[in-house]
Amino acid sequence: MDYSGFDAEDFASDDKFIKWVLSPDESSEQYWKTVQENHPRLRFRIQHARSLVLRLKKAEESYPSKARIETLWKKIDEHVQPQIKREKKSGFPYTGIAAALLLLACALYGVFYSTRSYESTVVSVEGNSRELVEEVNSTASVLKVHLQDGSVVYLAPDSRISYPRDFLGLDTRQVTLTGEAFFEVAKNMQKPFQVKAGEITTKVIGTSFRIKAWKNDKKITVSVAEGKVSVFSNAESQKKTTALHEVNGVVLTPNQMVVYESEDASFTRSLVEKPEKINPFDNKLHFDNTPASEVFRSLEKVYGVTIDYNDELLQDCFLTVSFGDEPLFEKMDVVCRTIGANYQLIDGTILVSGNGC
Amino acid sequence: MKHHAEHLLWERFKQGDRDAFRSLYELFVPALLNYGAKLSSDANVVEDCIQDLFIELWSSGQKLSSTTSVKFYLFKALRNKITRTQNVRSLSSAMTTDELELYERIPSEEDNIINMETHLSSVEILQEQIKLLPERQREAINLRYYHNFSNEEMAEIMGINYHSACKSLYAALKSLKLNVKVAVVSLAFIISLPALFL
Repeated sequence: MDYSGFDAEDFASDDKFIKWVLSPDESSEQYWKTVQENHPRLRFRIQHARSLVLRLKKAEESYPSKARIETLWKKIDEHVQPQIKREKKSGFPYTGIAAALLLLACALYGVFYSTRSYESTVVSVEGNSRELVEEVNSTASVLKVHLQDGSVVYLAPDSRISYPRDFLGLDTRQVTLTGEAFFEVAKNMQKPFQVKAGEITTKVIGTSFRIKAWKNDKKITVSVAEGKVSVFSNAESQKKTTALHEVNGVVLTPNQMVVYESEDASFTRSLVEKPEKINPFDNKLHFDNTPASEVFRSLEKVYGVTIDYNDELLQDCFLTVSFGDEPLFEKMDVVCRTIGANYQLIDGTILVSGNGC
Repeated sequence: MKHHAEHLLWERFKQGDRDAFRSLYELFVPALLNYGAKLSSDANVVEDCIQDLFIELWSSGQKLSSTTSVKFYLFKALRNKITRTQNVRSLSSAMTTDELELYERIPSEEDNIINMETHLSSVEILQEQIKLLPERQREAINLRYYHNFSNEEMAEIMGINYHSACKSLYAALKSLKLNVKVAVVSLAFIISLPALFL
C-alpha cells in the first residue's frame, strides 16, 4: 500500500488504520511501525490521525442512566408475550400462532405508526403463488423501501413500486415503478436487477441510479450515479438477447443520463446537470504548464466522462491551473477559455473544438 | 470471543428464551440510545423506536436469519424506524451528494497547531465542533469512531453508497480540522491578549 499521498484525514478514515488505533494487535502494531519507519515524513500525519481517531471516539461517548434502561425495558416487557412457546421447526400447525403474532405485530405497528400514511399491499400474480408487494408513497416525503436482496429504493411522493417479497428461485430481480425513485442496487451478478417504468426497462447488476417515469409525462429519464446501467424499450427487453445483437437502447456510465421520448420511442443521451467525481478522494487536479490533452485526460478519469478533442489542434496548448471542488462544467469553462476553445455536450460526451494555440 | 457470545445469545433468543432476550437488550441498548440521539434530537422518538424495535424483534423471533452481526442488524433496523417515523430525509438528500460539502484543501501547517491542541481540552472543543457538522457527517463520525463499524457497514447502515459514506466521513474530518484550528487559534489569541498589554 502506497501511503505517500495520504494526509491525516486519509489515514483517519482508512479502515485498516482505524482498526489499528481502536483495537491494536501484534500484526497491526508491526505493520504501522514499519510504515512509519519507511516513511519518516508521514510520521507526524499518522500521529495526528491517531490522536484524532482516539479523541473522536471519546467525544462521541455517552452512557444512559440505569433508570432509563430499566424504564424502557418495562415498556417493552409489557408488550412481549411470554406464554407462546416457540418451536424450532416451523410448519403448518403453527400457522395460527404465526397469524396471531402477525396480527399483534400489525396492531402494535398501527399504534406506533398511526401518523404514517403510505400503503403497502400484498397482491398475487395470476397463476403464480409468488407474492408481489406494492408500496404507494402518499406522504409528502421520501419513503425508503428495503428489498429482500439488500437493495434500497428511495420512493418519491406520489410514486408507487411493486416488487416480489423475495427473489428466491427467480432469474432476475424485477420491479415496476410509476413515478420517481432513486435505486441503490445490491450487487448480484447472477440475478440482474430490472426496473420496468412505462415503456422502458432499465437493467443493472449493482449500482445506483434514478428513474423519473411519471404517468402523464411522455418523457422518462434515467440518470446514473455509479456503475453501468442499460436502458431498453420494453419490446426489446422481451426478446432473447444475444451478445452480438444490437438493440434499441443505450448503455449509461456514471454521470450520464438518458431521456426516452415515448412519442418517437427515441433515446437521447446526455450528461447529468452536475457530474459527480467518481472517486471523491481523487483531488489531484493541479496542473503546471501541462498539455491541455493531459488536463482533459485527468478530468475524464476523475469524473468518469469522455472528453473528445482533436489532439493535433491542441498539441501546442499548455495551461497552469489548480482545481478544487467546483463543478465539472465550471472546470471545463476555465480550461476552454484559457486555450481559446469551446465545448458541447453530444450524446453523453464532451466535445471540445477550437483553433489551436 | 465477544462476537461468539452475542451469537449464542441471539440463537437462544430466537428459540424464545426471554432471559437471552433481556440480555440482548441490556447489551445493546446503551449503544442504540447513543446512536439514536444522532438521528433524532427528540429522546422520546428514540425511545419509542427502540421499544418498537425490540417488541417486533421478539414477535418475529424465529423468522429472523442468523445474522452475522447482531449489532449491525439492530443499528440498521433502528435507523429505519427513526427515519421512517420522522420522515427527516428529503428526496434530494437521498439523491445528491452535493451537500457533503467537501472543503478546500489547505496547505497543512499541522505542526505548531497540534502542540496547542493538546494543551487545551481538545475533546471538548471537538464535541462543540462536531455539533456544527451537517447531520449526515455527525452520523458517520458516530458510527465510525464510537461504534467502530467499518466504512462499508457504516455506508450500509446509513443507506448510502460506499463512496458517499467515505466522502462524508472525509469531509467531516476535513472541516473538523479546519474548525478546531480556528477555535484553537482564536482561543490562543485571547489567552495571549493580556501579554500584549504588558
